Amino acid sequence: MAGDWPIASWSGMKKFNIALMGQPNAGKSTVFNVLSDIKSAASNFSGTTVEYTESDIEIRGREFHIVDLPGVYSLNPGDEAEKLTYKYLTEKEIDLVINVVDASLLSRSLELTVELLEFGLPMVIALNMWDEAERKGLKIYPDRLEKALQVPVITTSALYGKGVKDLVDRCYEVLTTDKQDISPIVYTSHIEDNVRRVEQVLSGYSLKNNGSRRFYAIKAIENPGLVPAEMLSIIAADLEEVRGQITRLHRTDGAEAISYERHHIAMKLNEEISHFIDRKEVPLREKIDRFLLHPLLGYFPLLFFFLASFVAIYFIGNGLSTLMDLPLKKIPPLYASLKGWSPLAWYSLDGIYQGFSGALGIVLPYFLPLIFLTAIFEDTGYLARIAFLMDGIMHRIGLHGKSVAPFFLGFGCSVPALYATRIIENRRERMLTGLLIPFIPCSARTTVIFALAIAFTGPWWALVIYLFTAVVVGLTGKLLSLFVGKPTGLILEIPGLKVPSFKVAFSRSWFRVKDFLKFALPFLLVGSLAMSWLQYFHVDRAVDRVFAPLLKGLLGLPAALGSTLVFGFFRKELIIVMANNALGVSSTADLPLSPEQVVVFLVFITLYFPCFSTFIVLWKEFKWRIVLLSTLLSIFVATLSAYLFRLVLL
Amino acid sequence: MTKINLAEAPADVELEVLELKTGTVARQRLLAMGVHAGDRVRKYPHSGHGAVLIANITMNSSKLAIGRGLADRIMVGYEEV
Repeated sequence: MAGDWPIASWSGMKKFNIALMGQPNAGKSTVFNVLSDIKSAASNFSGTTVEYTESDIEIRGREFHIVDLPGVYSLNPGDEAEKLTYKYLTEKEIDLVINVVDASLLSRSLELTVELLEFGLPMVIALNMWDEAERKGLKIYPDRLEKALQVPVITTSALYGKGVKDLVDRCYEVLTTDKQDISPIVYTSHIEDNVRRVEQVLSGYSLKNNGSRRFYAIKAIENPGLVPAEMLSIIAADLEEVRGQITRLHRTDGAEAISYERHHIAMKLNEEISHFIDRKEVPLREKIDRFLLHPLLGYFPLLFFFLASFVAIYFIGNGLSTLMDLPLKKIPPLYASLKGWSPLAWYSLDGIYQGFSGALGIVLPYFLPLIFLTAIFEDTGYLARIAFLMDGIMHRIGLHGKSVAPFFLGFGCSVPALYATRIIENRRERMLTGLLIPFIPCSARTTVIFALAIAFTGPWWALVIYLFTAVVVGLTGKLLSLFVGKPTGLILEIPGLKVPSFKVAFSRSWFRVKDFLKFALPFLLVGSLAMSWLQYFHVDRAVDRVFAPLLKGLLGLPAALGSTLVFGFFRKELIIVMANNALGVSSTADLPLSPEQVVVFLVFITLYFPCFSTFIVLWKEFKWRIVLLSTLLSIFVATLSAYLFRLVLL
Repeated sequence: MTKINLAEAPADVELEVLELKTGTVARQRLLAMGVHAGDRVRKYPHSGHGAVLIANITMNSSKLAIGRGLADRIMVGYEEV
């Protein structure tokens, strides 16, 4: 993209900071993806961008720093992700805001636009999903919006890269020319008078955060908790009077009065700049959606997709694994002769080989189809539909539908799943969800489950373990919720159904595979090498002895598997490589375990402990008490579950 | 006009939102996500437990799932035919 502009000599000049802001599902991340080379986690589910993503791009030889902030419905943050956006907007250096607006949901989206105008930073509006609005029969006049708001308005269809070049040009123009002259949108006279009164009191105050005096005057009436204490102390006396007056006049509080003002301004703007030209009867997508969301029939596609994903991962993973095995199996004979004259060299080489073949031959084949399917599901908007369908069931285990998305992401990896809990406004539900996520088999554990199940028990046992973890999540959730009270209510947007873009899904999967290879492969290689050395120096036996009472005594498993549990803490996918290594076999199928022992082992390792990365994120998101609780809970649940399986099977 | 709470209101009928009797936090959330008194909404058929699904006709916005507990506290009205 940068190549389209002549390179000027801007070296040493200030880097411009651009923030992408908009309501959830407006397509901020898609705009961001087009703007930059890196891919942020764009998806069709409210609140999946839960951490902001940054990138540096070059326009006409000048550097721009772009940040993609989590979507917000308004500047009154509800959940953790929205709080992050509000904090960034008010505290970080921002030169320009790109307000990404979903053109197909114009009226509601404009409420945030009005609020951003009040905030007072230079702004450019990207009317995104332009094609979607046209498809809905909505005719929008962007020039009218531009005239009404006095900020540049560009129509984009970021998914297809349309309009993004114009957007960049207009941003460049705004940033490099004189200050934008945005005149404030005037409220109804009695509210406007009150806003001006508070604004007037603030006139001598020098602002320390981003945001105009008018913005803080309105915010003080609407949501005083968001206004800096120092500012609040200056306006305290006037504010009390103003808020009292508004309450008397409107028979409601300041928050509601201001919200209705913005709502009416947005509705009026919407009427001025758009109209329906062709309202179709019931489009096909709506018919499909009615089926997917049907209170009874909706569970059939849900079950179908779950089983289809399961079967697809099983067959594709198995096929890829067999394919990779052929060349990989030819490697060990090449260094076999080394064992005779330098056992340490042989152990070292073999350790590296085990790690390498484990990553390419076992982990990657199952990881690939799983992340691809997750990407497709995120894109279509089906995830939000699952949240709606599951709300009733989730209530029974003390949660609500919003926990479904983090749970679903948990099948990929617990780390993004824990971050995704930030979309849950209520601390109680967020904590409960965080405690339950480590029980969901992530892709690493899925790999272990599938690889061992294929070698020993057949695919149905993998399904049994999956269903068992669902029971564990349900029972543990129910049990924990007894101590923390009832769940709060769900309010969740169900975004329009979208045909998934295979191109986007492929590129996102590739990004995650690269990430896996970059971070996990060195871990696998070093871990496997260390395991080999432990064996060579017989240290593994000491570790095994520590775990023997649990593994051998309680669960009836070989004590030699003890050291694999330690490595499993670092990365769960290491377990299978380590198990092969610990029990001295090169192929999983040769492990000296009975099918029943494999099932008991799988139940234990699926539930026993959050991995190292999960441990760190739990700490970061929920502090040490929850980490401790999660640790004790998972060890207890894993031991109890595996013991029950042993009683039944062995 | 028949007044009823959203959870018990009939599906596939045009309903007018009359009052949000929820707590402050939930009310602010509903307002930000596009549910205001005076809006016309349509409810989708649902099973009777679990969340209620509505579409805001006034704002032509996307569908919104509202937990049953909250839907109990949103008052709506409709004309019987």
